[in-house]
Amino acid sequence: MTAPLELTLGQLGRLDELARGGTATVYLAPELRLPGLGDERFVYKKYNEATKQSAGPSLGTGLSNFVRFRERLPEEQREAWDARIIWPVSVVLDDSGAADGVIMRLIPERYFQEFTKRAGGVNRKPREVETLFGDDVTSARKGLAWVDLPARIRLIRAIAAAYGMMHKQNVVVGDISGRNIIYDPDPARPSIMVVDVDSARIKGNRAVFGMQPHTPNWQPPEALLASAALQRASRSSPSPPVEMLDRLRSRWAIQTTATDVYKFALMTVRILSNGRGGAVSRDPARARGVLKARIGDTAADLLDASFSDDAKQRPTMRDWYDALQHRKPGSRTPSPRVAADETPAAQKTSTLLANGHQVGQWVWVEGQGWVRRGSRPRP
Amino acid sequence: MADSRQANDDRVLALAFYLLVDVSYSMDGAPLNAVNKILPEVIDTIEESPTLGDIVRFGALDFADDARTVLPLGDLRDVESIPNFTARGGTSYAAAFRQLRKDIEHDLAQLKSDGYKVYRPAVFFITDGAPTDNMSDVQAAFNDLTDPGFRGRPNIIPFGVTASLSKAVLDPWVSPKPAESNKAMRSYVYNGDGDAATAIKQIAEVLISSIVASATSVNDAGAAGGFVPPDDDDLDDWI
Ligand SMILES: Nc1ncnc2c1ncn2[C@@H]1O[C@H](COP(=O)(O)OP(=O)(O)OP(=O)(O)O)[C@@H](O)[C@H]1O
Repeated sequence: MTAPLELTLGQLGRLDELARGGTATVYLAPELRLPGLGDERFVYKKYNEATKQSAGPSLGTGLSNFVRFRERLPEEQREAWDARIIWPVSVVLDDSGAADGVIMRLIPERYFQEFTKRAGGVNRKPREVETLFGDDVTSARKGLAWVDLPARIRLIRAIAAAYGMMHKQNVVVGDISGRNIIYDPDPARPSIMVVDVDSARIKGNRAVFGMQPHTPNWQPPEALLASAALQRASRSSPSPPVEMLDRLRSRWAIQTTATDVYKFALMTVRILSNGRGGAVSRDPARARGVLKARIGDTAADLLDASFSDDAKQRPTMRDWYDALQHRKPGSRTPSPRVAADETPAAQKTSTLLANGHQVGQWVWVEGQGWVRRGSRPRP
Repeated sequence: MADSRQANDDRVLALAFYLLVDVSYSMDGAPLNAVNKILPEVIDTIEESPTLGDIVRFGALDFADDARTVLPLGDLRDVESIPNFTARGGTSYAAAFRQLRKDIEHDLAQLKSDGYKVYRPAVFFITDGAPTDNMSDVQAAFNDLTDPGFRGRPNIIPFGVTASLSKAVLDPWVSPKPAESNKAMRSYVYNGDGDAATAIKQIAEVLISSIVASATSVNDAGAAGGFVPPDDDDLDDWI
């Protein structure tokens, strides 16, 4: 049994608003149960009018293709897919039969973070990967657990696994940014999920919402070049032929597996050299050093190649995943319990923190590192 | 080399926002209490997102008979204790515009020398009354602030927080005006059932939405687009 391809608004039961994004409003559908999806809970992502307008009449077909794509995966692969990606499981139709939004699984509890507010109280929302890009002082003030380098590398490897799997199934991730990966830093099993996959494209199909621009500060070099050329062309007189402008326009928005790889490398840089300015940095130096020291030359070279201006020179996600599986001979195993290992930063932190120190949902346990509050202490 | 750098401009676009608040005595009490909740909320939003932290620069000014920089434009993650707005004196728009011009000139030069690309800043201007100063003074200060020769001439969005304020009082201080730009700004006067404090709470919400939207906006050429003004759909109670 699989979930129905389409549902009507009336079948969703009660809806409680969870959050509003730029393109949609997301509701919890607490009463909805779907066959084949056991005791999962679901959200309804209802696209706003502007989003539906820009997608045009093919929205329904596009979303159905998305849903069917996941259902056609062999069971084993579907399980691996669902473990890493929040993918639409049904299309929701309005009273007129037009597509209005999608049903997705509710993001699991362990990916939520309570952000401490300045005036007291907390904001609860998914822990997006960009929170790994920031400086340690602000992160601590917000109640985010400190994530050491070994855990950061494991998170990067998990992202490589997810993107690699998507590419293997001929899916281009598309609009990658610090907001569409969420993570759980639990040192016992750091893990990630890919969310907000609306901009993904199944190869051979058009993207559901048409041309998707790259998020600012994530544009690959080919897009930056096309933008600059387009800006120059639109200022020049006499104005250049329309066909030329169209060609440039389609170049700045092009999303491919090679642009995914470039952006994955940017994400790696931002995760490994966090701090002020880290969320918009394109400077690979520090991350390159970390990869070289902890994984080896191959990973450092992959980083360089991923930033190549020539998309054909960039490696594949598979190359990345394979490289990240390796550890430099002699370097310490990134094991679950090394939050207090020999890294200078870890030493600094562990001497600063008293056993039992609590930050948000986390407590510092000497010899173990951050442990989720309320979870059973490890022997 | 110079050419390739120009062709491939990946300098980060910084977004400069100013909050300009009327602190004349009529704003004392609930309205200023509501204003004092804006900065903590904006700071929370910025601190939850390192990306916003790295690109948004925020400053605050108040004005009565004179104008003051309450929070110099900067990275909100550096703010240790959050300043409060307190009431004093009259309503000199001229003083406000003059201080703003001075601050913007200084702040943008600073951002550029720090290696950022910057566009025109955005000013969220909160008031509950007409200016008490000489009209020709106000006009002169406004002209100076919005002079086409001034690279940092801001986008100004005036918010009147009481229905008793007529739109005609605010419209002259919108910039740019519809006749001047295809990206014109507009004024808003609260016309809902709530009080001034309710109105100010809504301004805080649209200010935050505007900051978040600006950070991901893209222009026709696919480059970072900069400032996205509030969405009229979020301001149903305003005319
Ligand atoms: N599956 C989910 N489970 C729980 N919460 C979710 C889920 N999907 C989205 N949300 C919440 O809704 C918010 C908006 O969702 P999403 O980012 O998908 O919308 P969007 O309009 O595409 O966003 P953006 O503003 O990035 O364009 C998210 O930030 C998150 O807090």
